[in-house]
Amino acid sequence: MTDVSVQPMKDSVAPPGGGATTPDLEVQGLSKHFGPVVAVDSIDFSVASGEFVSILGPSGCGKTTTLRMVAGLEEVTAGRIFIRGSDVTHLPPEKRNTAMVFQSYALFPHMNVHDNVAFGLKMRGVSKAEIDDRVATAMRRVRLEGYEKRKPSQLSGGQRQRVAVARAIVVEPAILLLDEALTNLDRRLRQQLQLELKELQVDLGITSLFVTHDQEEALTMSDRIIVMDEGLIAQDAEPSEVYDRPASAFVAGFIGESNRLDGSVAAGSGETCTVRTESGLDLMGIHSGDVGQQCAVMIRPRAITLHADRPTKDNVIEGVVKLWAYKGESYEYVINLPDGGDLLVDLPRREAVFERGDRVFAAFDARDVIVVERA
Amino acid sequence: MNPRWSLPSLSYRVLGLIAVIFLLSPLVIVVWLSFGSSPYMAKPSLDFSLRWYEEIFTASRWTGPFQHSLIIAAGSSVLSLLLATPAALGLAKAQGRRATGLNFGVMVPFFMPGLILAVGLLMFASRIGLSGTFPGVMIAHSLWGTPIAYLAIRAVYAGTDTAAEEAARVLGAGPLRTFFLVTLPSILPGVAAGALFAFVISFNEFMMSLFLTAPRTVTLPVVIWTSLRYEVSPAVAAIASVFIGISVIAVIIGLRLVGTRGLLQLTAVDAAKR
Ligand SMILES: Nc1ncnc2c1ncn2[C@@H]1O[C@H](COP(=O)(O)OP(=O)(O)OP(=O)(O)O)[C@@H](O)[C@H]1O
Ligand SMILES: [Mg+2]
Repeated sequence: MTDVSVQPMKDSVAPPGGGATTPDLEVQGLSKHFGPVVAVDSIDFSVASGEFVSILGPSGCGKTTTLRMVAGLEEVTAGRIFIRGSDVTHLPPEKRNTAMVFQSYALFPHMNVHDNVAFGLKMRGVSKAEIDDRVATAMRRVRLEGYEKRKPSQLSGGQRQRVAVARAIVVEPAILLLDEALTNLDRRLRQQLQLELKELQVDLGITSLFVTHDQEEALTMSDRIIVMDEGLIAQDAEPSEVYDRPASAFVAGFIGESNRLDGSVAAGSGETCTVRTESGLDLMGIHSGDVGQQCAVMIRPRAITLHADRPTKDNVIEGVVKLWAYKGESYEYVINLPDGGDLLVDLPRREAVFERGDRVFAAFDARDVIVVERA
Repeated sequence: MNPRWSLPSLSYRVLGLIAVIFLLSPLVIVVWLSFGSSPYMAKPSLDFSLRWYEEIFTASRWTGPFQHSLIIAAGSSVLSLLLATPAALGLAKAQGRRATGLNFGVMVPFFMPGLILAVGLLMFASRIGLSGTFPGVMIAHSLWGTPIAYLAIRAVYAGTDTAAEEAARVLGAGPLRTFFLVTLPSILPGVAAGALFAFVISFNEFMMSLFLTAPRTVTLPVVIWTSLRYEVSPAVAAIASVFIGISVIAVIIGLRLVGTRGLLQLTAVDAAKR
């Protein structure tokens, strides 16, 4: 189950002929209100055939509600849902040809593994011979051959989740919905299942919508990430774009670690601009905002280097090493800035030569300075 | 020193034992009497005989009512399940004031005195021609059977994962198939316990039966009552022993199915919700 090389097959994602085909899932102006609570606030997105899209966001931002509306388990307040081009907004769940993997596994406790996996096919009136065939294939797919006769209670958490995955993929759904499918598993098992699930998804070309609040999981698995915040879509883009060019301070803060400094645009020329932070630092960044615009500057700890002598770089800030911590592959430094603020820096092992109290220069390029507007 | 034998713990044990003896002694005496051979309900003696059991299972004055009791208990148990199951499924995971109100509505007959229910039902039953019929008594008994079955089913259902039902729906099962293939199997212990409790409650019930039965539907408790007014036969003790046996077995099986903790938890969940 190891050495699985996972390469999202980007070219298989784009439909032949340049993307004119109908997406497997399309959501328009989708809203859900629970009394006064607006759980989902008129969102639009689509998932192309074969694509793996994650919905990522903090707890309570409306991820599960969105997924449940797609599955038909929750009535929509407003908006429309199309699966493979047909309007399913008001169809009951059993008529939508989706499949769902739940955080709690949701296996049928009184049925053995085989019957659990066979359930969807039985409901579809598939012949006994074909059911046995397809169940066997699905069991092989999730590496659970030989467990058919067991009851769910006789399986480990990871095995249960594999049964849940087998039960979902065996019906060849138009779209596979996963709600925090791996969250209940411990870290190692989770990483292994991430790889297995991704491999499976790519091999079978299953269109998938995956809900998670784990940004690392979303970054590794997805072709595209939809970041949600308080019922709204904060950003909908490829993982690298979400990471490198976050659309807002919220996204930058949620995805990966970053240092945040608030300020306003002091000068701008074409692509680059200078931001004057509230503590009086001038930083150069990539942004074409208007002068005077309130903004936040985000810098990834990895993008910063430390120097004993003042280097020639776009941005250099002087500070004192407050503390450092060993993190395995790298060292994490906290640099105390003159204004009293802290700067988090992540250094590769061979560059980590500074001690507490050392005076250092923190340097970073203008292109590593993410400038986002601030309300 | 072993804490089991410390003074407070020991005194609780002794008090507990006294309470149990106090509660069970009438039952013990009745069972003892039923195995005697004397034709009178005399002092318990040591001669052992099964003649009274032979009588109650052969003499038609007992076997007829015995059959009636079984028919009524079975019918009212089924009726109770038909009412309690949907109520339990609907209310187990519901919240809010309306759910609390409905919950109260289901439970309230259970705490009404049998005499009050009997008087009300008598007027109602004779109006619609159910007085003295099997369905009439079955309906009356399900006023107590439904709440108890409701509690048992609810306790079991509250412990199940609703996501399994949702998974079934998403996999293509309609509401009906989801109920029969997924929900029902998972609440089966609760349904069985509920059926058992409702059965026993009906089987033991006296007051409503007294008002609502006619000679062709009369139940065992009612014949015991009427026969006691003329003679005191140890056959009554034998019948009483049968009642005790059935009740004890039902409670043991029922609590096994639902779990004592299941019932207690349910009460706790209820309390927390409010
Ligand atoms: N049945 C419900 N009744 C009332 N409010 C609800 C209900 N379901 C969800 N909500 C509310 O809607 C909002 C969104 O909930 P949702 O479950 O979609 O969040 P989520 O993004 O999945 O969070 P998490 O990561 O914690 O699972 C929350 O404020 C939640 O309290
Ligand atoms: Mg959720």
